[in-house]
Amino acid sequence: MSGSSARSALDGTTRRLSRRDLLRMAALSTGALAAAPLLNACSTDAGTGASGATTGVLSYMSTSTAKTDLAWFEKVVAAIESEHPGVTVEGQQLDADQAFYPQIQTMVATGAYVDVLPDISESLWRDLANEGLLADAGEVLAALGGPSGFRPGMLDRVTIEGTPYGVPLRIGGFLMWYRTDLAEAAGLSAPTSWASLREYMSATTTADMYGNGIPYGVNNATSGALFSYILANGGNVCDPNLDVVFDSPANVETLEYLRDIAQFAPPGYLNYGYAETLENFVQGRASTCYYVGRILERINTDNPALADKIGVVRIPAAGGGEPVAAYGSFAISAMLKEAPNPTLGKLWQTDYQFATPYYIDALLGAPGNDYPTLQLSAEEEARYEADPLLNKYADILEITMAAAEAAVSPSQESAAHQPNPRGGVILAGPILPTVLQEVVTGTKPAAAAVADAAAALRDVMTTG
Amino acid sequence: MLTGERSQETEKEAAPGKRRRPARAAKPDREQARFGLILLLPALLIFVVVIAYPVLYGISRSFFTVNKLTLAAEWVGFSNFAAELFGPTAKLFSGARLSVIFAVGTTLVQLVIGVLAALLLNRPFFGRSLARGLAIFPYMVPIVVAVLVWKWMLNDQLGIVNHGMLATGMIDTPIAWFDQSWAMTSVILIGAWRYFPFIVLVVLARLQSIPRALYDAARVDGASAWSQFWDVTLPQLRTVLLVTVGLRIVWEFNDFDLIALATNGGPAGATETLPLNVYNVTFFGAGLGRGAALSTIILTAILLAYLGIHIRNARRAAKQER
Repeated sequence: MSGSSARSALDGTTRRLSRRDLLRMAALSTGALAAAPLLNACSTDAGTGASGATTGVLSYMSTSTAKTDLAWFEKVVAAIESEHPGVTVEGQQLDADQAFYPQIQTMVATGAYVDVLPDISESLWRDLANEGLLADAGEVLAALGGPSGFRPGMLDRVTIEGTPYGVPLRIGGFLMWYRTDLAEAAGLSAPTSWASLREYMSATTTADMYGNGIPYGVNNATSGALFSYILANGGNVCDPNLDVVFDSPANVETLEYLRDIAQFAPPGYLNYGYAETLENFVQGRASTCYYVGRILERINTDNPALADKIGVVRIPAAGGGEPVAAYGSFAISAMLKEAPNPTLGKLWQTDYQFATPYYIDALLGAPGNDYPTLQLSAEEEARYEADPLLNKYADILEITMAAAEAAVSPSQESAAHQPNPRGGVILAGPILPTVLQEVVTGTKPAAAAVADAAAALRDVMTTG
Repeated sequence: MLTGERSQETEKEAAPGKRRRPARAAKPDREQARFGLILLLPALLIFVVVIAYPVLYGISRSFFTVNKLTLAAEWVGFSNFAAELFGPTAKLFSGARLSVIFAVGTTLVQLVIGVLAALLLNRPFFGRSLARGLAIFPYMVPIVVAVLVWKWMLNDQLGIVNHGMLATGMIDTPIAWFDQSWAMTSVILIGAWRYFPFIVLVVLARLQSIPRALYDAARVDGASAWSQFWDVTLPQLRTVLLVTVGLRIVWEFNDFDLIALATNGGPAGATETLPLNVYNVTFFGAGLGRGAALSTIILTAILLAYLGIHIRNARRAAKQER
């Protein structure tokens, strides 16, 4: 008998398969393969029953990709899987830059939800909350001690019309880091106005050192930096009623200032984001850096020779004096209303992410980068403050903490502003970086570039 | 009896000048036709699900404002098209220009390097197998890794390229490989490095099938090495090169990830090609409806261009037949 024969499972007889039979089988198999995704899409999520039992798949999608953050996630996942043998954790770590937002959009569009978004930005949180996609976090917040379990004002930031839609995770603010040794050598003190910042940048620019460490690439680092300097000069993207006021004389002035100090930036500054800006400062190639507190950990790890030569100021107000609010991050842990396994999502939040020791572990991954939103217990407080780096830079930490507490974002430019549902898109998109690049490169005069950017922003606000 | 014979017979039986109903196909023929249809169904299903539905859905979204998260839509007619063609934020024409520059530029560099490498790898030398393996290495590296490595290699302060050029005295100050004057060249070269192995693979396969007798005859006629290449190798490669270049230009025209990772369209829009423009409009600009309108405009333009080429070729072929 040839190879093309088969035994019927029903009657046990053997018959020869014709070429046509084989083709028919191939056609049916191909059809089944093509239909598989459709059938799969129609099927229900198996293995995560509604019984509330701690079994099944716990899924998350995170914006954290720093080495220390990844180590924390690995540790938490291992702890959950070992303490709950029926639970498997499946996570995605996506770049907070541009990749995360489309990924969320795809998730919502396809209905393939995850259980937890452990560390989303305030702007993305607001977008999701406005669309009614987030779950009420009241139960989780109660388990974490209610309002008394959090620092003042934190719960207000995650509450919309009386309902909390997330758990405040951490706050951080952007600052201007500088080199104290170079300032001293130039006979200058810490820069506290745009004029003194320019003077410092100019004085510290040499053959192998660049004074300007502000990112100018097309990325959200540049969006945040430009937003900070716009606020520092009394400008805004939108007014409190969310009308676009980007085309203001103050913003033209800000862009011209940033163009002027671009002469002190490294040659490749037009493609710089967080990574390049940080690396140049840590490696001693730039004398300033627009960044958050993670610098402390990076300098002490990668270039300890500079560990005692760094200082920090909040983004200087244009005319000097008390610094105004600058861009900062406010991260939130949230669950989706359509989470396939909400029980496991809550387990993640209450027993791990916000529980001892994991919460403090996360903060101490990069000491000084982010600040707690929880009221720490005496034991946690002691552990947090005992960190050698936090001890060493106590004076710096006061400044970084003040910047974190005052931080704002395009999602809400000030306490007087209405929350901007398009804030996240404005921050993550190319409009702000592009207008800066157009002015810096001379592609367009500042006033024309600002007018074009305002038109694009109005597009985003009305149709985006 | 064969099917053809039967139909001839049927025609003979028909009275001249009298129109006759076509005879119904015999049962085995109908079965065969039905079976053929069944065989086509999977491919048709895949075509409908994977190509036709997404394209038609995209075109339909062009006429709506679409909520990015919930996909709720509101009819706006042709205003999305008007905004993307003539609006103050429209970048269609600059994007098209940059896409053509990138696609043609990187394909030409790939072509030159790819053909030269294939000619080299076609000659016998020690370690040729290893060299052939290494030649396709850029094609195997994930695009994210490849571009990030290139970005750091071309970094003005810490990159090995500037370091090497400074150390050898070729330059006095670091070159900003991603500034306005260099950015497009840099992404063209990164694209060429990444994709030239495709040309190598295709050309090498063709080179190995060129009959040796053609070269022997050319040598007997006293042809030089250059003449052998020009008069024997190149004509033999012509068809394969035309197809490969056509494919590469189409692929490069639609290339998104390389430029998004390398420059994200900057500086000041100097590398904002059409795919990047669509992405920015959709996710960070005026929204999904406007992005869909922009995509529809591009699709229509490409189809018209293709139609033009097809008609021209058909006319040329008809002329040659005459």
